[in-house]
Amino acid sequence: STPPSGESEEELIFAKEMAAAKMERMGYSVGFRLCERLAQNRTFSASGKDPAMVAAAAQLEAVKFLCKEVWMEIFRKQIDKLQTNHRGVFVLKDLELRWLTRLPPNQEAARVTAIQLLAFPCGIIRGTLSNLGISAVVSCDFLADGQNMSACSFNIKIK
Amino acid sequence: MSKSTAASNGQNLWAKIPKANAELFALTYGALVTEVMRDADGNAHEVNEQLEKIGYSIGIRSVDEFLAKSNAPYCKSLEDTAQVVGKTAFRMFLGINCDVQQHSPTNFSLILQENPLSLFVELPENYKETLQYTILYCGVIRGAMEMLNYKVECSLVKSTLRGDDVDEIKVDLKQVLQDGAGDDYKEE
Repeated sequence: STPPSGESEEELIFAKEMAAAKMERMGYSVGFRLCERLAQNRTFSASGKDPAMVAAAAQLEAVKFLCKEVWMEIFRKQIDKLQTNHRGVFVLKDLELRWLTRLPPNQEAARVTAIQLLAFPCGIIRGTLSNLGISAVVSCDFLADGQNMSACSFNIKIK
Repeated sequence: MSKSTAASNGQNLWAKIPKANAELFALTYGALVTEVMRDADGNAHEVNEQLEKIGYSIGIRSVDEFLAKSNAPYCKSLEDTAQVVGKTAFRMFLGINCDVQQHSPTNFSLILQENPLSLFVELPENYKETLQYTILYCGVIRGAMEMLNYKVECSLVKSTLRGDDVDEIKVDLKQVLQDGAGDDYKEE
Protein backbone atom coordinates (compact mmCIF):
# COMPACT_ATOMS: atom_id res chain seq x y z
CA SER A 1 0.00 0.00 0.00
CA THR A 2 1.20 3.53 -0.68
CA PRO A 3 2.12 5.47 2.45
CA PRO A 4 0.54 8.93 2.67
CA SER A 5 2.99 11.66 1.67
CA GLY A 6 4.51 13.77 4.38
CA GLU A 7 5.20 10.88 6.74
CA SER A 8 8.69 10.63 8.07
CA GLU A 9 10.76 7.47 8.07
CA GLU A 10 10.13 6.99 11.78
CA GLU A 11 6.36 7.25 11.38
CA LEU A 12 6.41 4.65 8.62
CA ILE A 13 8.47 2.26 10.67
CA PHE A 14 6.21 2.90 13.67
CA ALA A 15 3.12 2.19 11.55
CA LYS A 16 4.68 -1.07 10.35
CA GLU A 17 5.49 -2.10 13.91
CA MET A 18 1.95 -1.26 15.03
CA ALA A 19 0.59 -3.41 12.20
CA ALA A 20 2.84 -6.31 13.18
CA ALA A 21 1.76 -5.93 16.81
CA LYS A 22 -1.88 -6.07 15.70
CA MET A 23 -1.30 -9.29 13.78
CA GLU A 24 0.51 -10.79 16.76
CA ARG A 25 -2.34 -9.78 19.09
CA MET A 26 -4.88 -11.41 16.81
CA GLY A 27 -2.77 -14.55 16.67
CA TYR A 28 -2.49 -14.57 20.46
CA SER A 29 -6.27 -14.39 20.85
CA VAL A 30 -6.83 -17.18 18.34
CA GLY A 31 -4.07 -19.40 19.77
CA PHE A 32 -5.27 -18.96 23.33
CA ARG A 33 -8.89 -19.83 22.53
CA LEU A 34 -8.11 -22.64 20.11
CA CYS A 35 -5.82 -24.24 22.68
CA GLU A 36 -8.63 -24.06 25.23
CA ARG A 37 -10.72 -26.19 22.87
CA LEU A 38 -7.99 -28.54 21.68
CA ALA A 39 -6.36 -29.21 25.04
CA GLN A 40 -9.62 -29.82 26.85
CA ASN A 41 -8.85 -33.24 28.20
CA ARG A 42 -5.10 -33.11 28.17
CA THR A 43 -2.66 -32.54 30.95
CA PHE A 44 0.98 -31.69 30.43
CA SER A 45 2.90 -33.02 33.31
CA ALA A 46 5.96 -35.02 33.99
CA SER A 47 7.22 -36.81 37.02
CA GLY A 48 10.67 -36.97 38.49
CA LYS A 49 12.89 -35.97 41.35
CA ASP A 50 14.45 -32.76 40.18
CA PRO A 51 11.87 -29.91 39.95
CA ALA A 52 13.80 -28.11 37.21
CA MET A 53 13.90 -31.26 35.08
CA VAL A 54 10.21 -31.87 35.70
CA ALA A 55 9.33 -28.34 34.62
CA ALA A 56 11.45 -28.68 31.48
CA ALA A 57 9.83 -32.01 30.63
CA ALA A 58 6.33 -30.58 31.07
CA GLN A 59 7.25 -27.64 28.84
CA LEU A 60 8.50 -30.02 26.21
CA GLU A 61 5.17 -31.90 26.34
CA ALA A 62 3.32 -28.64 25.82
CA VAL A 63 5.54 -27.59 22.90
CA LYS A 64 5.14 -31.02 21.30
CA PHE A 65 1.36 -30.64 21.61
CA LEU A 66 1.68 -27.29 19.84
CA CYS A 67 3.86 -28.77 17.08
CA LYS A 68 1.59 -31.73 16.47
CA GLU A 69 -2.05 -31.19 17.37
CA VAL A 70 -2.39 -27.42 17.21
CA TRP A 71 -0.30 -27.04 14.05
CA MET A 72 -2.26 -29.88 12.43
CA GLU A 73 -5.60 -28.18 13.15
CA ILE A 74 -4.46 -24.87 11.74
CA PHE A 75 -2.02 -25.76 8.95
CA ARG A 76 -3.04 -29.36 8.16
CA LYS A 77 0.48 -30.59 8.88
CA GLN A 78 2.87 -30.88 11.80
CA ILE A 79 5.95 -28.83 12.50
CA ASP A 80 8.80 -30.37 10.49
CA LYS A 81 11.66 -29.96 12.95
CA LEU A 82 11.76 -29.25 16.67
CA GLN A 83 15.00 -28.39 18.42
CA THR A 84 15.52 -27.52 22.05
CA ASN A 85 18.34 -26.90 24.48
CA HIS A 86 16.20 -28.29 27.32
CA ARG A 87 16.67 -25.00 29.10
CA GLY A 88 13.65 -23.11 27.85
CA VAL A 89 14.65 -22.39 24.25
CA PHE A 90 12.87 -24.10 21.37
CA VAL A 91 13.24 -23.71 17.61
CA LEU A 92 10.33 -24.87 15.44
CA LYS A 93 10.93 -25.23 11.71
CA ASP A 94 8.17 -25.46 9.17
CA LEU A 95 9.52 -26.12 5.69
CA GLU A 96 6.26 -25.59 3.86
CA LEU A 97 3.89 -23.22 5.59
CA ARG A 98 0.56 -23.23 3.75
CA TRP A 99 0.06 -19.50 4.01
CA LEU A 100 3.33 -18.72 2.27
CA THR A 101 3.20 -21.13 -0.66
CA ARG A 102 1.72 -18.62 -3.12
CA LEU A 103 4.39 -15.97 -2.65
CA PRO A 104 6.30 -15.14 -5.85
CA PRO A 105 9.84 -16.49 -5.64
CA ASN A 106 12.92 -14.32 -5.43
CA GLN A 107 11.25 -11.00 -4.67
CA GLU A 108 12.16 -8.70 -1.80
CA ALA A 109 8.58 -7.49 -1.46
CA ALA A 110 7.49 -11.08 -0.94
CA ARG A 111 10.03 -11.43 1.88
CA VAL A 112 8.63 -8.34 3.58
CA THR A 113 5.07 -9.64 3.21
CA ALA A 114 6.09 -13.02 4.60
CA ILE A 115 7.53 -11.45 7.74
CA GLN A 116 4.30 -9.48 8.19
CA LEU A 117 2.24 -12.66 7.76
CA LEU A 118 4.39 -14.65 10.18
CA ALA A 119 3.46 -12.33 13.06
CA PHE A 120 0.11 -14.13 13.22
CA PRO A 121 1.51 -17.65 13.79
CA CYS A 122 3.94 -16.15 16.32
CA GLY A 123 0.92 -14.92 18.22
CA ILE A 124 -0.76 -18.31 17.90
CA ILE A 125 2.27 -19.95 19.49
CA ARG A 126 2.44 -17.39 22.29
CA GLY A 127 -1.32 -17.72 22.91
CA THR A 128 -1.27 -21.53 22.94
CA LEU A 129 1.59 -21.66 25.42
CA SER A 130 -0.02 -18.98 27.55
CA ASN A 131 -3.19 -21.05 27.80
CA LEU A 132 -1.04 -23.93 29.04
CA GLY A 133 0.46 -21.72 31.70
CA ILE A 134 3.74 -21.06 29.94
CA SER A 135 4.90 -17.50 29.47
CA ALA A 136 7.19 -17.08 26.47
CA VAL A 137 8.64 -14.70 23.94
CA VAL A 138 8.21 -15.81 20.34
CA SER A 139 10.03 -14.54 17.27
CA CYS A 140 10.18 -15.79 13.72
CA ASP A 141 12.59 -16.10 10.84
CA PHE A 142 11.88 -16.40 7.18
CA LEU A 143 14.06 -19.20 5.84
CA ALA A 144 13.22 -18.98 2.17
CA ASP A 145 16.06 -19.62 -0.23
CA GLY A 146 14.80 -18.01 -3.41
CA GLN A 147 12.75 -20.85 -4.87
CA ASN A 148 11.04 -22.24 -1.78
CA MET A 149 9.29 -19.25 -0.25
CA SER A 150 7.40 -21.14 2.38
CA ALA A 151 10.09 -22.21 4.85
CA CYS A 152 10.16 -20.45 8.20
CA SER A 153 11.22 -20.95 11.79
CA PHE A 154 9.82 -19.86 15.12
CA ASN A 155 11.99 -19.25 18.19
CA ILE A 156 10.43 -19.73 21.58
CA LYS A 157 12.16 -18.44 24.71
CA ILE A 158 10.39 -19.40 27.88
CA LYS A 159 10.47 -16.66 30.48
CA MET B 1 -31.02 -22.28 -13.52
CA SER B 2 -33.27 -24.71 -11.73
CA LYS B 3 -33.22 -24.57 -7.97
CA SER B 4 -32.16 -28.17 -7.50
CA THR B 5 -29.24 -27.91 -9.94
CA ALA B 6 -27.87 -24.89 -8.09
CA ALA B 7 -28.07 -26.79 -4.83
CA SER B 8 -26.50 -30.00 -6.11
CA ASN B 9 -23.78 -28.00 -7.86
CA GLY B 10 -23.06 -26.34 -4.54
CA GLN B 11 -22.88 -29.67 -2.75
CA ASN B 12 -20.41 -31.10 -5.27
CA LEU B 13 -18.20 -28.04 -5.10
CA TRP B 14 -18.20 -28.13 -1.30
CA ALA B 15 -17.11 -31.77 -1.40
CA LYS B 16 -14.13 -30.99 -3.64
CA ILE B 17 -12.87 -27.73 -2.13
CA PRO B 18 -10.05 -27.86 0.47
CA LYS B 19 -11.33 -26.99 3.90
CA ALA B 20 -10.11 -25.19 7.00
CA ASN B 21 -10.88 -25.65 10.66
CA ALA B 22 -14.24 -23.97 11.37
CA GLU B 23 -13.21 -22.94 14.87
CA LEU B 24 -10.04 -21.31 13.53
CA PHE B 25 -12.20 -19.43 11.03
CA ALA B 26 -14.63 -18.15 13.62
CA LEU B 27 -11.93 -17.28 16.17
CA THR B 28 -9.82 -15.44 13.57
CA TYR B 29 -12.82 -13.37 12.51
CA GLY B 30 -13.52 -12.62 16.15
CA ALA B 31 -9.94 -11.45 16.66
CA LEU B 32 -10.27 -9.28 13.54
CA VAL B 33 -13.49 -7.67 14.79
CA THR B 34 -11.81 -6.99 18.12
CA GLU B 35 -8.93 -5.21 16.39
CA VAL B 36 -11.27 -3.15 14.21
CA MET B 37 -13.23 -2.27 17.35
CA ARG B 38 -9.98 -1.09 18.95
CA ASP B 39 -9.16 1.09 15.96
CA ALA B 40 -12.63 2.59 15.92
CA ASP B 41 -12.59 3.30 19.67
CA GLY B 42 -15.76 1.33 20.19
CA ASN B 43 -17.85 3.17 17.60
CA ALA B 44 -20.16 0.41 16.31
CA HIS B 45 -21.18 2.25 13.14
CA GLU B 46 -17.57 2.73 12.10
CA VAL B 47 -16.85 -0.93 12.83
CA ASN B 48 -19.82 -1.99 10.68
CA GLU B 49 -18.51 0.17 7.86
CA GLN B 50 -14.99 -1.27 8.11
CA LEU B 51 -16.21 -4.86 8.24
CA GLU B 52 -18.38 -4.25 5.19
CA LYS B 53 -15.37 -2.83 3.34
CA ILE B 54 -13.29 -5.86 4.29
CA GLY B 55 -16.10 -8.03 2.97
CA TYR B 56 -16.10 -6.01 -0.26
CA SER B 57 -12.37 -6.75 -0.84
CA ILE B 58 -13.03 -10.42 -0.19
CA GLY B 59 -16.02 -10.44 -2.54
CA ILE B 60 -14.30 -8.90 -5.54
CA ARG B 61 -11.67 -11.67 -5.37
CA SER B 62 -13.89 -14.59 -4.36
CA VAL B 63 -16.08 -14.16 -7.41
CA ASP B 64 -13.10 -15.01 -9.67
CA GLU B 65 -12.43 -18.18 -7.74
CA PHE B 66 -16.10 -19.06 -7.82
CA LEU B 67 -16.43 -18.58 -11.57
CA ALA B 68 -13.23 -20.53 -12.19
CA LYS B 69 -14.25 -23.49 -10.06
CA SER B 70 -17.96 -23.76 -10.57
CA ASN B 71 -19.76 -24.53 -13.76
CA ALA B 72 -22.53 -22.10 -12.98
CA PRO B 73 -24.50 -21.51 -16.15
CA TYR B 74 -25.24 -18.05 -17.48
CA CYS B 75 -27.77 -16.27 -15.29
CA LYS B 76 -30.61 -14.70 -17.26
CA SER B 77 -32.17 -12.77 -14.40
CA LEU B 78 -31.62 -11.70 -10.84
CA GLU B 79 -33.69 -14.71 -9.75
CA ASP B 80 -31.10 -17.02 -11.31
CA THR B 81 -28.28 -15.04 -9.72
CA ALA B 82 -29.97 -15.25 -6.33
CA GLN B 83 -30.15 -19.03 -6.59
CA VAL B 84 -26.51 -19.28 -7.64
CA VAL B 85 -25.35 -17.00 -4.81
CA GLY B 86 -27.44 -18.63 -2.15
CA LYS B 87 -27.37 -22.28 -3.15
CA THR B 88 -24.06 -22.69 -4.97
CA ALA B 89 -21.65 -20.00 -3.82
CA PHE B 90 -22.50 -19.95 -0.13
CA ARG B 91 -22.49 -23.75 -0.14
CA MET B 92 -19.12 -23.89 -1.89
CA PHE B 93 -17.31 -21.42 0.35
CA LEU B 94 -19.00 -21.95 3.69
CA GLY B 95 -20.63 -25.35 3.48
CA ILE B 96 -23.98 -23.95 4.60
CA ASN B 97 -27.44 -24.25 3.12
CA CYS B 98 -29.19 -20.97 2.43
CA ASP B 99 -32.83 -20.38 1.74
CA VAL B 100 -33.42 -17.93 -1.05
CA GLN B 101 -36.50 -15.73 -0.89
CA GLN B 102 -37.27 -13.67 -3.95
CA HIS B 103 -39.29 -10.61 -2.96
CA SER B 104 -39.36 -8.91 -6.35
CA PRO B 105 -37.36 -8.93 -9.61
CA THR B 106 -34.85 -6.58 -7.99
CA ASN B 107 -34.84 -7.79 -4.44
CA PHE B 108 -34.06 -11.05 -2.67
CA SER B 109 -33.12 -12.35 0.74
CA LEU B 110 -30.75 -15.06 1.86
CA ILE B 111 -31.78 -16.86 5.02
CA LEU B 112 -28.93 -18.56 6.84
CA GLN B 113 -29.95 -21.33 9.19
CA GLU B 114 -26.41 -21.61 10.50
CA ASN B 115 -23.66 -19.01 10.51
CA PRO B 116 -20.02 -20.13 10.62
CA LEU B 117 -18.79 -16.66 11.56
CA SER B 118 -20.83 -16.44 14.74
CA LEU B 119 -19.64 -19.70 16.28
CA PHE B 120 -18.85 -19.12 19.98
CA VAL B 121 -19.88 -15.46 19.67
CA GLU B 122 -21.86 -13.55 22.25
CA LEU B 123 -22.26 -9.81 21.87
CA PRO B 124 -22.23 -7.60 24.96
CA GLU B 125 -25.60 -6.00 25.77
CA ASN B 126 -24.58 -2.53 24.69
CA TYR B 127 -23.56 -3.75 21.22
CA LYS B 128 -26.36 -6.25 20.54
CA GLU B 129 -28.44 -3.77 18.55
CA THR B 130 -25.68 -1.65 17.04
CA LEU B 131 -22.84 -3.98 16.05
CA GLN B 132 -23.64 -5.93 12.89
CA TYR B 133 -21.10 -8.65 13.49
CA THR B 134 -21.68 -10.65 10.31
CA ILE B 135 -22.04 -7.65 8.01
CA LEU B 136 -18.95 -9.11 6.29
CA TYR B 137 -21.31 -11.25 4.17
CA CYS B 138 -23.04 -8.11 2.93
CA GLY B 139 -19.73 -6.70 1.73
CA VAL B 140 -18.77 -9.98 0.09
CA ILE B 141 -22.03 -10.10 -1.87
CA ARG B 142 -21.77 -6.43 -2.82
CA GLY B 143 -18.20 -6.87 -4.08
CA ALA B 144 -18.89 -10.07 -5.97
CA MET B 145 -22.01 -8.65 -7.65
CA GLU B 146 -20.21 -5.46 -8.62
CA MET B 147 -17.65 -7.50 -10.53
CA LEU B 148 -20.59 -8.97 -12.42
CA ASN B 149 -21.94 -5.49 -13.20
CA TYR B 150 -24.73 -5.58 -10.64
CA LYS B 151 -24.67 -2.65 -8.25
CA VAL B 152 -26.43 -3.84 -5.10
CA GLU B 153 -27.07 -2.73 -1.57
CA CYS B 154 -26.93 -5.43 1.07
CA SER B 155 -28.12 -5.27 4.61
CA LEU B 156 -28.28 -7.59 7.57
CA VAL B 157 -31.95 -7.57 8.55
CA LYS B 158 -31.99 -10.44 11.02
CA SER B 159 -29.18 -11.70 13.22
CA THR B 160 -29.06 -14.57 15.70
CA LEU B 161 -26.56 -12.54 17.73
CA ARG B 162 -29.33 -10.04 18.33
CA GLY B 163 -31.86 -12.64 19.38
CA ASP B 164 -33.53 -13.39 16.02
CA ASP B 165 -34.03 -17.03 15.08
CA VAL B 166 -32.11 -16.87 11.79
CA ASP B 167 -29.69 -14.61 9.94
CA GLU B 168 -31.19 -12.78 6.99
CA ILE B 169 -29.28 -10.81 4.35
CA LYS B 170 -31.37 -8.62 2.09
CA VAL B 171 -29.96 -7.83 -1.36
CA ASP B 172 -31.39 -4.93 -3.30
CA LEU B 173 -30.46 -4.39 -6.95
CA LYS B 174 -29.83 -0.69 -7.58
CA GLN B 175 -28.32 -0.56 -11.02
CA VAL B 176 -27.06 -2.78 -13.77
CA LEU B 177 -23.74 -1.29 -14.84
CA GLN B 178 -22.52 -1.17 -18.42
CA ASP B 179 -19.20 -2.71 -19.34
CA GLY B 180 -16.78 0.07 -20.04
CA ALA B 181 -13.14 0.10 -20.99
CA GLY B 182 -12.59 3.64 -19.83
CA ASP B 183 -12.03 6.90 -21.67
CA ASP B 184 -8.54 5.96 -22.85
CA TYR B 185 -9.89 3.26 -25.10
CA LYS B 186 -12.76 5.15 -26.67
CA GLU B 187 -12.64 5.04 -30.42
CA GLU B 188 -11.87 8.27 -32.19
